[in-house]
Amino acid sequence: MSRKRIDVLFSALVVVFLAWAVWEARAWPLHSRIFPWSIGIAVLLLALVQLASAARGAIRTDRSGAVDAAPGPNLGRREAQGVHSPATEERALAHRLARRRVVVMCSWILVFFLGVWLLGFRVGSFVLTAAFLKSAAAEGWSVSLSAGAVSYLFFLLVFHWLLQVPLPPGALAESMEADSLDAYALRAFRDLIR
Amino acid sequence: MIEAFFSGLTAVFTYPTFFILLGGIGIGFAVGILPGVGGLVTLALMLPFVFDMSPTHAFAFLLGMLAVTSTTGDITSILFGVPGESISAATIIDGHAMAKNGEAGRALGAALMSSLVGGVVGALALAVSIPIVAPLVLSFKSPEFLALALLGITFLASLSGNSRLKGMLSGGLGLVLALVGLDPQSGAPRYTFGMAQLWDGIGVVPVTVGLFALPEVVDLWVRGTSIAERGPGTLGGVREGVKDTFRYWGTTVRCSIIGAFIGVIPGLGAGVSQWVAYGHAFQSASDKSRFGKGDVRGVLGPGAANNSGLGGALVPTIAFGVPGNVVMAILLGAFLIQGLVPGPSMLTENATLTYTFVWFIVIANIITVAFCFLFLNQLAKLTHVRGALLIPGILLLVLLGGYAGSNSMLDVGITLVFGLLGLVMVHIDWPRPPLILGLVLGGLVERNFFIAYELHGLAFLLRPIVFVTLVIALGVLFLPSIQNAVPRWLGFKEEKVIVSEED
Repeated sequence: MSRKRIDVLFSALVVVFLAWAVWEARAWPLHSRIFPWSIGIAVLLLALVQLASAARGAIRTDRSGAVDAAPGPNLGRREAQGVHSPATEERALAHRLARRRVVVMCSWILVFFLGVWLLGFRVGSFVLTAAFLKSAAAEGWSVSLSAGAVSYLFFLLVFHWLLQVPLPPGALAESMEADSLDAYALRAFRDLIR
Repeated sequence: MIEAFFSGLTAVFTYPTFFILLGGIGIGFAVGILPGVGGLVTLALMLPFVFDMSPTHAFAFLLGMLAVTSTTGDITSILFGVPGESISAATIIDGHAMAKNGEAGRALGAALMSSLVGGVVGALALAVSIPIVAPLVLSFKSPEFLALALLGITFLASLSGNSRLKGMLSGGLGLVLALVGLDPQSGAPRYTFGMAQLWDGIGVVPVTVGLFALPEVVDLWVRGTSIAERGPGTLGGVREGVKDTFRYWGTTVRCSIIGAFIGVIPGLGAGVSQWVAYGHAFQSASDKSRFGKGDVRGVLGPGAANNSGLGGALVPTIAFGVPGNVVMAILLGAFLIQGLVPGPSMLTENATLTYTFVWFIVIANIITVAFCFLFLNQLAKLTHVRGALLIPGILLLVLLGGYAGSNSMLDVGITLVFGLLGLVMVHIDWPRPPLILGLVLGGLVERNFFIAYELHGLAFLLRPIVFVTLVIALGVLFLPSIQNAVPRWLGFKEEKVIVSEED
C-alpha cells in the first residue's frame, strides 16, 4: 500500500475516532462535555480537511502513475505496462524486505511485552534477551546467554537491591503465589538439596 | 545577603557535605539514564534517608540528585531515541538524528554543555529572583496560567515541520487524549471504558516513550546496521558540541531563561519548557532546514531549558512554600522533615542555607558535565555497535519506562499502542511532538479555563498579562504566514531555489 493511501486511511481513522469522541460526550453533564465538544469538533473539522487533502493527493498520484516512495500498486502498474528495470525490481525487493523486517520487529515487541507480563522483568529479561539474540540476531549461545545473564543481574542489582523499586513478578509467579519466579526456583532448589 | 551568598559556597566544600553531594549526583546520574525511573520516583524513595541528616546534608543529597537527572536523561535520548526522563523527549528529535548521522559525540557535547549553562542560569535565577519574585508569582493566577498554556499550544505550529495542518491535528489529538480520566469539575469519568486505572488519565511518560522510542527500535532493526548510519565521529565531535554551545550562545541563554521562567510558574514545568524552548530555537533560526534532521540548535534549546527549570521551580517553593510541580511538592516534604518553613525565614535567618542550595545546583551540574566528558567518547561508540545487540536492552528499558511511571502493566500496553501509532506517524510524515505537547497542556487549559471563567467571566481576557500573552500567541501562530505573504503582496518574485535531496 502506498504511503499516500496509508495517509488517507490514517486520516479516515482519525476522523472516525474524533467523531466517536464527540458522540460519546453527548450524554455527559454540561460541564463535562464543554471541552470535549469544543476541542473535539474543532479538531474533527481539521481532520476532515486533512482527509480531503490526503485523498486528493492520493488520487492525483494514482492518475499520474508516479512511483511512490513506498511500495504499492504503482509497481504493479509499471509491470503491467511492460516496464521492467533492474533498479525497479531491486527497489521492490528492498521494500518487501523492509516490510517483512517491520513485521518481525513488531512481533518481537509484542513477544517482549507478553514475556514481561508472564515472567516479570527479572526472569523475563534473561529469557527474552537470550531468545532474541539467538533466534533473531543469529548470535551464538554464549553471547545470547551471557547477555541474558547481564540483563537479569542489571534488574536484580539496580532495581531490586539498590533502588528497591517493585517490579511485577509476572503472571506465572502470581499464579503460583510466589514473590517471583527466580525466588521460587531458588527456594525449590534449596528444598531439593535439603 | 552577599555574605550569605559566599558562605553558601564554602559550605558546599566541607566534609561530609561534598561527599554526600557526590552520592546524590551518582544516584541522579543512574536514575536519569534509566527511562521511566525519573527524578520524581527516586526523590520519593530517597526521602526517608534524609530524616537523620542535617538540612545542609539532606539538600546536598536531594538537590545533587535532582540537578543531574535531566542532564543524563538527554544521553539516552541522543544515543537510543529513548527519553531517560520525560523532560528529555524534545532532545530526541534532533539529538538522535545527529547520532544517526554519526555526530553522537557532537550532540552529547552540546547537550551536556547547554545543560551546564542552563543549570547555572537556573541557579542564578534562584539567587537573584527570590527577593523580588513575590509580585510575579502572586500575580499569576488561573487566567495567566491559561494564557501561558494557550501560548504553549501555539508552539504546536512551530513543531509541525513541513505540514502545519498535520501538526495542528496531531496537537489536537493530544488535547483530546488529555481529556481521558475523571472530569476535574464534576468527577465524571470520560473515555475510561469503565477502567479505574484510566481515572488519572493517560500518562505522559508511557506515551512519550512509546511514541518516540519504539519507532526508533523498529527503524534500527529494519536498517540492520548500527545506530549511526555514517562513519564514526572523532573526538572533535564532542569538542564541536561544546563549541556549538558558545557559537549559538544567544539561543542557549534565551532557552535557559525560558526554562527558568516557566519553572517559576507553578503548574508548568520542564515538560512544557522543553518544547517551548525547541519551538523558540526553531523560530529564531535563520536557516530552519536542518531542524528535525540533526540541527544542533534542536539539542541546545531543550538541553538548556530542561536543566534551568530546577532553579526556577525552587523559587516559589522556597519563597512561598508553593510547589511548582510534583517534584517540588515532594521536596517540600523534605523541608518539613528538616523543620524548615518556606517563606521569609529562608531569606533571613536561613539565607546561607538558601544560597547553599544555589551552589549545590551549580556544583552538581559542573561535576556531572565534567564526569560525563571523561567517557563521552565511549558512550558515543555505542552508536556503532551492531543494532541487533542493543535492541533487547533498549526494548526492556522502553517497557520499564512505560511501567515505572505508575507501576501498571496497563501503561506498558499504552506504550505499545502509542509505539504503533508513532510508527505509522513516522511513515506518513505526521509530526509527533505536537501530540505530546497537546497531552501535557490539555489538562492545564481545561482546569484553568473553568476557574478563570467562574471567577472573572470573560473579563479575564482583558487582564494585562493575559492580554499580552494572547497577543504573543497570535503572533507566534500567524507571524510566519504573514512573513511569507508580505513579499508576495509587495510584488516580489519568488526565487526558485533548487534544493538537493537529502541522502
